[in-house]
Amino acid sequence: MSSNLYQDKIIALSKDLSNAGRLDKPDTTATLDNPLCGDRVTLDIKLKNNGISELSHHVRGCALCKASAALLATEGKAKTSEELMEMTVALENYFKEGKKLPEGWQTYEVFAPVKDHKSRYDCVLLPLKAAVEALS
Amino acid sequence: MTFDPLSLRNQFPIFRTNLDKPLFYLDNAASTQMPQTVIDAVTEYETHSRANVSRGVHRLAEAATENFEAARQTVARYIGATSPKEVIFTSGTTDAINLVAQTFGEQLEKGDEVVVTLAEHHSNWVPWYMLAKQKGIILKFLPVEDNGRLDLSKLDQVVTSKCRLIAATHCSNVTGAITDVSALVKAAKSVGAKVLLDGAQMVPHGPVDVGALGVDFYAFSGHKMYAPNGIGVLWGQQSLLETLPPYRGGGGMIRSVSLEGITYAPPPERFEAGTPPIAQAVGLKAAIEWIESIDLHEATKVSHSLMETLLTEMEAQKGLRIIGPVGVNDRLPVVSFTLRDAHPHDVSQILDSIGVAVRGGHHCAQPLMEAYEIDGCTRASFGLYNDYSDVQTLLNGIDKVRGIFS
Repeated sequence: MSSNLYQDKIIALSKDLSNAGRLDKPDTTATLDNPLCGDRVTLDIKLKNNGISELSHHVRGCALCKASAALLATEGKAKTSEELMEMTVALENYFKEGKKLPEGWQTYEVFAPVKDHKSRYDCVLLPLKAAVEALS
Repeated sequence: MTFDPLSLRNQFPIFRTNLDKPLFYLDNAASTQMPQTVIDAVTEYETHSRANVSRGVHRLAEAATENFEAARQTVARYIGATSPKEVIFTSGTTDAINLVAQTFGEQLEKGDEVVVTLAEHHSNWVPWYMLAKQKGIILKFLPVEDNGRLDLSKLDQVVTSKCRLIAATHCSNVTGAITDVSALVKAAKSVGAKVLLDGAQMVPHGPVDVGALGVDFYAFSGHKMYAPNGIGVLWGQQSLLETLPPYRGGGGMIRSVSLEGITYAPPPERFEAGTPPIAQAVGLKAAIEWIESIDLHEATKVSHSLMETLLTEMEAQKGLRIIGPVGVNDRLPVVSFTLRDAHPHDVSQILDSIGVAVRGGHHCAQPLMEAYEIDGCTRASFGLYNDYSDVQTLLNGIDKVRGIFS
């Protein structure tokens, strides 16, 4: 059932605005669009020792995209560009092939119901791709 | 004739498909379903008379050509063309508008102006933007009112003596608002400009009369009017088409090719390079004949009643914004809306969970979304087979969305 997608944890994450907005003087910023649906994610990032020290998000998109951005703001801390790239690929494989998520990213299993909805993979992946672009 | 949506629905095999739940199909502005009679016509052609057109003398080639040209005649009759030669088969509305942009547009000069409206689908926006970049022409934009209608009071400001074309939708794919074409034609003719109408949403709801409309070009697609994908139509006034250069080069569009040069075929073949969509044309003919067999006067009464019920229910809901006109007059059964706290993709996904197929997003009309300061909206669009069960299930689904996001 499609409605299973909207589990309480995902809805709660989508409403978590604790890291929403813009940062003052970020070290890097990226805005990424999903041309198919018009979703847009803007990330501001501050760095420390090559890793993310602070991340804020501004999302024009669906609940899945907002939830993913909110989770990234907490789970992405201290992660490097390489780790984010690895996670982006791994999350795609998690959705498509049911492969395991890398160590340290298990909280993303909250998005397990998305596996059954191919058209929504990009909703969750967009914030991660924006972070990779910001750090590249 | 009588009109009964349920009996029409029974003619569509998709509604008998063994889906995991009943289908409440309200995405007709994107694509309609195909009745069995259209599927049968395509199958019959592919089974018994498949061949290329205008190239062979064998009996199959003759039969294919006959079928293809019969489709052209049927289209001509449906839209009130004075001759089948004014009917150009394309791959769809987008292709038809690009054809005009690349042929009529080829004759424009730097500084000439083309007017588009903020209500346009990207298919009637991007080709003009690309042409503007290529040729240095200037794009001007006719705004929309808050109620979804074009702001015709601004026509005088945007249509100047440099205007060469007004490119507008006959009916918005988002708001359902039907355009007051006469106002556009009057403004265009006052400065000697042409008018192109995107009729993709309009033609599925009944015949149009391009002559009475007074426009110069009219474009539409088969897949939104119960016909197969991959076919569309550009109608143009014959005298105008004859002045235009070819669109694409290839077989079928020439009179002769030699080392010394090329002479081109007259319209419509001049604009139909390569093997055309023959089976799709056969399907389009069958679809038009199917539409013509329906009591469209009664069908309109039913669609207005469905729309009125839906709009009345929606207007009473807090946090629900209708993106379009108030009431059912001068609009097609296309109802777009936003829900506070719920993104259109989430709305669409939850509606799908109870079998309701709608479209959520920007509907390839991002300038319109920008004008209304929304990320997107959810659109319920009705076809001839929809009835009250579709409206009621949609409303139940909206309740479900509210339950999840409240």
